[in-house]
Amino acid sequence: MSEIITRGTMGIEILPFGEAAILVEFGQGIRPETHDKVQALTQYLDCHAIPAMIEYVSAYSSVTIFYDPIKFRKSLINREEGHQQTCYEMLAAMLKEIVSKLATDVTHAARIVEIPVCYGGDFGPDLDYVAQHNKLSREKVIEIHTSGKYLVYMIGFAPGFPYLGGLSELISTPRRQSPRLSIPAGSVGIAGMQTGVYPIETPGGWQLIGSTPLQLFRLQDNPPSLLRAGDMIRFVPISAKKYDTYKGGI
Amino acid sequence: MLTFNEIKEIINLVNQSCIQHFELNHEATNIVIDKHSLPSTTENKIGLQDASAVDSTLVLSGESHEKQLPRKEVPDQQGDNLYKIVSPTVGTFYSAPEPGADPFIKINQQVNSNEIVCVLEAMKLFNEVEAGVNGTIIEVLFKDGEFVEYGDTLFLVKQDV
Amino acid sequence: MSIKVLKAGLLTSIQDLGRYGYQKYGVIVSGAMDSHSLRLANILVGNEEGEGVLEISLMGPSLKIEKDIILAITGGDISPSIDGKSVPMWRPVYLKKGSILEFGRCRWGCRAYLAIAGGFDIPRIMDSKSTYLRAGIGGFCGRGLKVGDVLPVKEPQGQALRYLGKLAKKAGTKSMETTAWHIRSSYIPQNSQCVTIRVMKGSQFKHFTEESTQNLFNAPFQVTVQSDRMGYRLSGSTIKLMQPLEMVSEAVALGTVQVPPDGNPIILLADRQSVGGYPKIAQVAIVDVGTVAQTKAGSKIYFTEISIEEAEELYCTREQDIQNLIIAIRLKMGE
Repeated sequence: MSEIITRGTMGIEILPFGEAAILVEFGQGIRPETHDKVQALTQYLDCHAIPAMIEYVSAYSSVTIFYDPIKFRKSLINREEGHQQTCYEMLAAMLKEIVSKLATDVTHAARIVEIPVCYGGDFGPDLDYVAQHNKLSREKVIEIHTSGKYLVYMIGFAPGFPYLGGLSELISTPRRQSPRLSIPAGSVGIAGMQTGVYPIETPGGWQLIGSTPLQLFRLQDNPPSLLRAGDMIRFVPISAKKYDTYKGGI
Repeated sequence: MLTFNEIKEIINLVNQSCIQHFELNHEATNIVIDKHSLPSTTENKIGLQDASAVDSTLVLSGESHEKQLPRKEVPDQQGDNLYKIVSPTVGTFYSAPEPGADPFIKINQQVNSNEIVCVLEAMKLFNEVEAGVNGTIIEVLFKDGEFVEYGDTLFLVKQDV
Repeated sequence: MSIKVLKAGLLTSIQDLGRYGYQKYGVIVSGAMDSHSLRLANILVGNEEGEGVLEISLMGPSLKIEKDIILAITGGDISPSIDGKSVPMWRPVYLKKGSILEFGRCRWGCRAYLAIAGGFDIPRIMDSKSTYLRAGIGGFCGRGLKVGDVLPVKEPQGQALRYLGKLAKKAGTKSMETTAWHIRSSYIPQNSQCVTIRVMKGSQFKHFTEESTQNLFNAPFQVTVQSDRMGYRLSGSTIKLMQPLEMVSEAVALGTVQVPPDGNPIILLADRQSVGGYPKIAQVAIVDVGTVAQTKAGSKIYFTEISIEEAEELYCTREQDIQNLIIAIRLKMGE
């Protein structure tokens, strides 16, 4: 009974994820069109309560909904129906209905967030390596990085950490052989086809090309993350002097 | 004797919970609440604060309730020097602190009055029963896992003089 | 009213049931590794089930109690004692001011939960008192306890105050007193270092080789030393995919068993990140996560498959048991 996987149109799958979570898969891979569908569902969930939902986590091409099976069963109007099915089966049916009615074109416009970055030197100790690896000048690397528009696919890995898509192949660089034990908060880096910003100090293997004075994670704010899935990012180069002013002002 | 308010409070607590069957022995009062006899739609009413919403079988009696389990025969040997350690509750008898552990006491063992002789499990609480007297254990009347009623004799003890 | 830390222990931190609602911002759930034991500890002292408690791992702290209190210790048996006298677990215990609570050898499990009636007087950060150790957020100053720390405890009220009153009265002048009853961790197996863990098939189960899935359910895995609050890394037969899988990061859950390229499965636990990119072979049933958390490096784990219905049934039954216990204890302490 519990092996039923609900398949809808457009290759959407609704899969069980243990006894207290359910996964809605919109496709495979990293694609803006798939992401639009993810956004459509999360926007729906932000406005409409699913019974017994604790929270959702959206990723590149999926949304996982965490729920409480007891609260879910208590919320059922028809208890008899509940005796023959698992919460997964009932929730899957509910979600299939919701997903089939979602608008495929996302109406609300993406926020554009500018991230000021001071590149190179102490702010970006691996900028030269990235330049050499791609047979480009430092200035060219900065030009390519700042001319891109990056979609925030999701926030994860660390508080406020954005998974960005859209890095130009021209500056893609593999991770460092040996990761650094500690990367300062605000570091902007490249790892393979990914680019991103470390919002808090953590160990990591990314190639660091610059640093931003912006705080991507602010405990006192609600929501505590500056960025959200669906935002569009642009990196804007600033001088070291401007970096200090920015920092002082925060 | 439980007061009316205390009984009402108990009914409310049981009503609001998922408990299906509830029994309580308190001094001369005996309460049995059974939700099994309810039709399933009545479950929807649970959650209301009003005790009257529950059509439970509320049996209040001043004497022991009728249960089909056979009562243990307590042999009357060696005259009246034998002290009976009596069960303070209904529950399941366990002779050891944990499954697989050594029993608390054995036959012919000397006990002090505050020594634990067994545990009785009721509503998932494990109640420790103390000997109550100094003496020697003559007989253990229940086995591990057996159901015990309020007032049943659990052990016979030859009191120290 | 406070508790003074004389010795910190290996890792002692304040945890509750976790920080929910913020995973979409990359803020992990954290919380107790054995949440069932945490809830029972709180219930025993009359606190709200989800109140913050001390999670004590492997080597316990030395704590000076600076006011008459009641506490309860559940979970792993790390030999709690006061003045060399054993402090009983799984029941409310009254202690007089000046008592020094110490811990010793791990006799069973490895994580103990210490609840104090009233709970800890620390701020809730994003709706939770749990400590997010890696980010330095929440709990007591965002970290594990250190020598010299003074933990503020709230004045007990309501149920907690009633329980305190009842035991204080029973104690009279004695410095330690307890109830004549206790609860038992009957769901926990006898041997905490060789356990059977019930799992459901994971999202990418069908992508693993038949040999791997056979081995998963037939051969034991060992908990390695690279195991911590983030996850338990296991060693045993190598788990292999039929062919390389292009996987993008997606959400993970408590108890997700993921398999990195080296073939050694990892059971994700309280401090897991919100997303991961490794294929998932299994999902531990919620009722067995605490059992995993009580194993130590060197322990053996056997996996056995159950269905989602069974997992749900186990979860619902356990919740019912907890509700029944709350009532039973209230009635007992109200006598």
